[in-house]
Amino acid sequence: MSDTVTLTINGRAVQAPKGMGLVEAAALAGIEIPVFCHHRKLKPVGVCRMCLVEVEGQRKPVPACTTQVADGMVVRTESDLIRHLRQGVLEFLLLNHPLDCPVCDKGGECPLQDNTFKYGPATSRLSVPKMKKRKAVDLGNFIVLDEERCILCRRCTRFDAEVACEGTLVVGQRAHEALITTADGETYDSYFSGNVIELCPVGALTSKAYRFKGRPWDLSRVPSVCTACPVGCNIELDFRFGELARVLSRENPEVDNGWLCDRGRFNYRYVHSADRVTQPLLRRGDTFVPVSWTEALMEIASRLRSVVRDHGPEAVGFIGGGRLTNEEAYTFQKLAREAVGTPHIDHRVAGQKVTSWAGYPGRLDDIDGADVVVLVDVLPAEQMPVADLRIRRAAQRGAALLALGPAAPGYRVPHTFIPVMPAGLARFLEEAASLVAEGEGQGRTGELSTTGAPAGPGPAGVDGQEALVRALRSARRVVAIWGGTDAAVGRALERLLNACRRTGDDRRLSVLIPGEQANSRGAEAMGVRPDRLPGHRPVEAGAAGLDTAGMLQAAAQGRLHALYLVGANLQETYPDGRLVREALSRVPFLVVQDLFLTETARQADVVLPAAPFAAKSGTYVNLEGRVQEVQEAQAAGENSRTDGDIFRALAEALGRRLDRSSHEIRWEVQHLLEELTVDGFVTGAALPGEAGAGAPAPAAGTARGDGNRADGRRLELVAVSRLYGGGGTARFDPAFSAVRPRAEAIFHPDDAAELGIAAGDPVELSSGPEAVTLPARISPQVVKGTVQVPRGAEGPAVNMLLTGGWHAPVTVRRRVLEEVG
Amino acid sequence: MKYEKVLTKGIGEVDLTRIENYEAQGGYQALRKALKGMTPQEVHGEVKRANLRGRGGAGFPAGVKWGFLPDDGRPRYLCCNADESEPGTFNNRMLIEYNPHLLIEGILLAAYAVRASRSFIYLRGEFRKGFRVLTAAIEQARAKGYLGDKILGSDFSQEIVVHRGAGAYICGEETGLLSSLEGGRGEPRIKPPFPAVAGLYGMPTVVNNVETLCNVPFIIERGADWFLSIGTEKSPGTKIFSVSGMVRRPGNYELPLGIPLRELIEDVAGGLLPGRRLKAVQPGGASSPVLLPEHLDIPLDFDSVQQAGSILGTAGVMVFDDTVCMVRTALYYADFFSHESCGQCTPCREGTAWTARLLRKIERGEGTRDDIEVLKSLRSAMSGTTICLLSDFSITYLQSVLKHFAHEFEAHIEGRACLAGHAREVRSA
Amino acid sequence: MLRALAKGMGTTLRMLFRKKQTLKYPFVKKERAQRFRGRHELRRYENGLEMCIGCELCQVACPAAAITVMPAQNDPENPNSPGERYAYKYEIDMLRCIFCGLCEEACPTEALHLTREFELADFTRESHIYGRDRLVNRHTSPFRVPENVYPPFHGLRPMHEDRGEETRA
Repeated sequence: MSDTVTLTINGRAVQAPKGMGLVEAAALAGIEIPVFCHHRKLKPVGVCRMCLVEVEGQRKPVPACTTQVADGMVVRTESDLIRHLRQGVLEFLLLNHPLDCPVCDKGGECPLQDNTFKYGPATSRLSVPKMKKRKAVDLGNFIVLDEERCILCRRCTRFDAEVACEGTLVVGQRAHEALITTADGETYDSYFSGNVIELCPVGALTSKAYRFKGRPWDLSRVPSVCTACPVGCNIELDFRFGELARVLSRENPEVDNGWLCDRGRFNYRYVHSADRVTQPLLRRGDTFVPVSWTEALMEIASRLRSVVRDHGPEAVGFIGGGRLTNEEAYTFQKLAREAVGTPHIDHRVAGQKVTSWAGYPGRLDDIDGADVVVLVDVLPAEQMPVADLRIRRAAQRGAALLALGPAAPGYRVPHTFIPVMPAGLARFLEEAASLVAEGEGQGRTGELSTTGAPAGPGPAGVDGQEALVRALRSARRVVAIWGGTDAAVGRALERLLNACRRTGDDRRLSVLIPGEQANSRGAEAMGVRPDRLPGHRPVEAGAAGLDTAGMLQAAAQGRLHALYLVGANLQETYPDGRLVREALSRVPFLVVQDLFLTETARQADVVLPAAPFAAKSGTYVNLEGRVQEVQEAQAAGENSRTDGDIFRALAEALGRRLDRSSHEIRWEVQHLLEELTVDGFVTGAALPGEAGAGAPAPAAGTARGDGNRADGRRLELVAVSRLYGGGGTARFDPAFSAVRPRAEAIFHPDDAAELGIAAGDPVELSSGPEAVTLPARISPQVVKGTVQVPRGAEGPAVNMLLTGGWHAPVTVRRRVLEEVG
Repeated sequence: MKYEKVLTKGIGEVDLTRIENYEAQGGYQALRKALKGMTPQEVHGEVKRANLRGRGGAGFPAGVKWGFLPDDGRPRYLCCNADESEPGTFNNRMLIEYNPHLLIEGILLAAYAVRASRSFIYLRGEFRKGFRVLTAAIEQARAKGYLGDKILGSDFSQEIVVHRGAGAYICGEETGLLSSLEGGRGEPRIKPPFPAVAGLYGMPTVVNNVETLCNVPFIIERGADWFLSIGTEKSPGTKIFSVSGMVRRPGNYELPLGIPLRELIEDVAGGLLPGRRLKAVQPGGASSPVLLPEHLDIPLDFDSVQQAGSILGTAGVMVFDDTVCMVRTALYYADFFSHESCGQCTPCREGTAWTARLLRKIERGEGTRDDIEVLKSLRSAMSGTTICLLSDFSITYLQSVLKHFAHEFEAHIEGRACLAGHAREVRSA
Repeated sequence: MLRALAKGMGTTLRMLFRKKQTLKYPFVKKERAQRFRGRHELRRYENGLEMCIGCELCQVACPAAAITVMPAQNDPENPNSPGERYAYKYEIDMLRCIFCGLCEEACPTEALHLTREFELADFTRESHIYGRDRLVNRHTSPFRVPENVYPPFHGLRPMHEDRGEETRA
């Protein structure tokens, strides 16, 4: 049976794969069939009627988008009838379409303009006034709708239903009054809302950020890679007069599949923020004075030299690197290891323990074919949003989606959430592993109820474990996505996957770990780790340096005399605010290299202004190990420099050249990456063993001091990732800061009732001497017995209550009004 | 009485909403007969042999339609289309409100014949009384063992779900009905796949009109030969004609198919009002092109009406006399269709609204000859270019009026008084 | 020879009594053609609104790259132009301009107009970059805002506006 069919289009024989739509088949032969509603990423609906073609044997013209090719089909796309019908459709579409083109953001890249030009009638026969609809309708955070311009092709609503799987955007009303609107009581605040702008074939859905900023022909376009999260979506940066005007998707089917999240698409104006540090700053008493680069670098070099002289090179620590390119990260560790001579260097700034894992390497497209997707203590929508679209689609297609952890993912696709407290997660997985191994071949599930005891302090029940075990037993292709915050969980996950592997040979098991920063995985491969040299080579036994936690502890105890932070706002990102505070205030010399004067940078002795991602060229490694290259899109600007240039200049100031030319570093990195590459992807590191390298994390679940106040109640604090949360890039973006989450404490309704808390009440969360007051919110999505707070939110820093992990027991108390004042 | 009443027997004489009265005039005998002594195939075969043509408008033989269901083990559904929204058509409503058990029996027989796992009645939302009557009748039938598990002791079980629409004409289109029944927007789907292959929830589905299903019990009870003896050769059986407009006795009349139009208007419906002349007749609802006085002698069956240039459709016969302004009737329908288009397909969504706006302009005396040309040209742009037939049907009446009553449009354009004076019957919305 | 001299003198004599071609510029200015293309102006509608909508078509039409337009959204309470958009920055570099008039042709609202003014000489390069202050005509023109083109625009919440308590609860 052949997989291709032969059909005739406009008299030409065309070979096309079976099941292909006529529009695509014609495109294969270089014949264009104009479309509006059709989009190859969405299911065809055939509503715009632009693609009508004649098929021999059919009474009526058929829409090419919904018609599949068949052997011997004879199609005509350019007959008089078809030309006439196209003119008719365009005349209909333009009847009430406003004459807005000169002010429309789509003008110049508008399929309606293009198709009208190619196929349309020259004039309109409308002899009555155009019908009016609303202009500039505010749909949500980033999207403006012009109802008049809308041609109701429904690409946007279909995207929201089929790809984002949310169903917020819908068609309202009917007939000529039909319009795009949101479901009752909702605003279009999807994380993926920006995609509808690119899907819209007219200027009906436009971006608030790019609204009236320019015309498409003004823009100079540079291909790039998004650095907002470790997925590494391919983007196009559009500049006007040297200013970044907008970010578009640059489709890479293997990575982003043509989609972008709103963080990646709209969080770009920080690049031109007025709050950027534009000159090196030197502390003089309580204030900073701007100085020249030479002066700043000489100051750093002399201070570092004196620290090394007095206390040895091991008194210097380097933290950061997950936002750097591979080349910069490589230079960074060279600066630390060669120019300064310290082993203390770590890229992990947000409590992640494991960034990559050589066992069970996962690819993003594994999710597409998976029949079980297991989320282990991870919220993909917040940490790897565009990859989450694949998960949603898999779940909608029928794959089992199971989420384990202390916080529920807010899916609108079928899924099973198994609440497990982080402390009990490893045990839960290990028990599941033994159940999978035991039950192999027997298919018994009755025993589960006796062996599967509730795990950990969480309310995880037997049912959840049973669901997981049952799904894994029958699965052929399993994708596990893991947050990487606890090495013990990783080992348990390994055991679970090993158990699955034993049960069948042709199973494909893969693990994906979203790094905490965009290039965490690259930084790790480049050796920005205390225990590994470039290329995942382990350091000699006993020569491992301190990891981030170790360095902070050493600094707090006065053992570390200089700390160099690169793109790391530890005050906000590190899950132990108290330790960071003590470390930063104790360390005698602190250098911060960043775009903004963050709270961490404000404590520095020297602040070096770094250039944003658009000014860099180099490579990034995404969460699956894919190497992607970017070119410099924009000059670094007057006084900021790229991180790599800063490292090189500083090394020179320290009297050591790191390279003879920038090519040398590039060549070395390329060589390293090639060595690490297996099947086209950079491999991950080995999972840390039982006696994991790096300082042991403080035992989860131990509270600092005695928090048992008589009037409070103990709940588990769970700090969850938020896509719009986080540091400088969100806060100093004039457009994006508005959507940054606000600090709040979210309770399960039962807990709230027990505590007597109503929505909006001020609630005090305390752990030992530290207390944070937050407004309360109540949501049934929160697991009972936990209180959820967003990470990187605007407001009081909740990491003051944490002790190294993103969860800790806290005492919760409703504050009475007098106390608040 | 000249013709025997079949479907409407007893209506107006006894209260057929009470199951005892229905049983007393022979109700549920056909169901009993089928379940006791006939296989589903035999029931299907009988209906097929009777050449029962769909009463919903298209006139497609129901037995043939049932035969399209693929035999692949998937669950099958039966939907009764009770979303009667066609202007000038009101026969389903009468059957539902006054003879609900006949419909229930018909559905049960059809469900038996096609081996449906569940039946649905998609009821027009505005039929409040019909909903009350139907739900009560279903309860009565259940209490008597005609509905539910193991009906009348046989292996046949069936449930009937009554679903009320939300007020959309387009949900009378079978795939629009299915979309609405599934909980989505009432929007027709692309065919193929036809409902027989992938209908409700993607399963094989039969959609039949109320009147079609009401014929089934009689075919089973009295046999296909009896049915074939009524009406014409190609359109057997009776049909309930809903006569409205400028006649003395408007109403529902059950008559054999093939009855001459003249007999229907002049005898059955009592003729025109005194002193009026017949101007035009619409034989089958809003979308049927006009028949002129010269067509009075054609027999009203599916094929003859089509030969005369119109369609029998739902047999909602509307009679226009010389006081009716044809431009206004066209405007009325254009408003109706532009309101009832689902808005999916461009030609229909924009075309119906444009048609209505142009006709309003012309009706007000502000039109031009160019507007007439535009209206005429819309025929090719709106016919055969959309998913369902609403777009095609929205202009068939207009095109026939433009052809036969061009002088009335001329008069409106030239600003002369409308020929027909002021006809109150047609509102311009 | 004499004849030639006389002929020459004759011409001189004849010319002496002809109308003079020289003008006492700058006191007297030469008559310019009806379609003379001089300094640009941005016109206003009769109601005082600017005709320019910031579409940038003049910018793309300009073969000398002399025009820079930066658009922005109108304040619906106090609009600069009809509709949603206006040019908050509009610059023409008169030193680059070749006065070809393509911008005028490209303008969809007939806002841009080349006047017959030609005296543009000045002493610095900067002063030849004409901004909105010098381009937008202070007086209104007889043009009316076209009907049925600009729909009522009631504004849009800007992105960076302080969010209310309810927006992202």
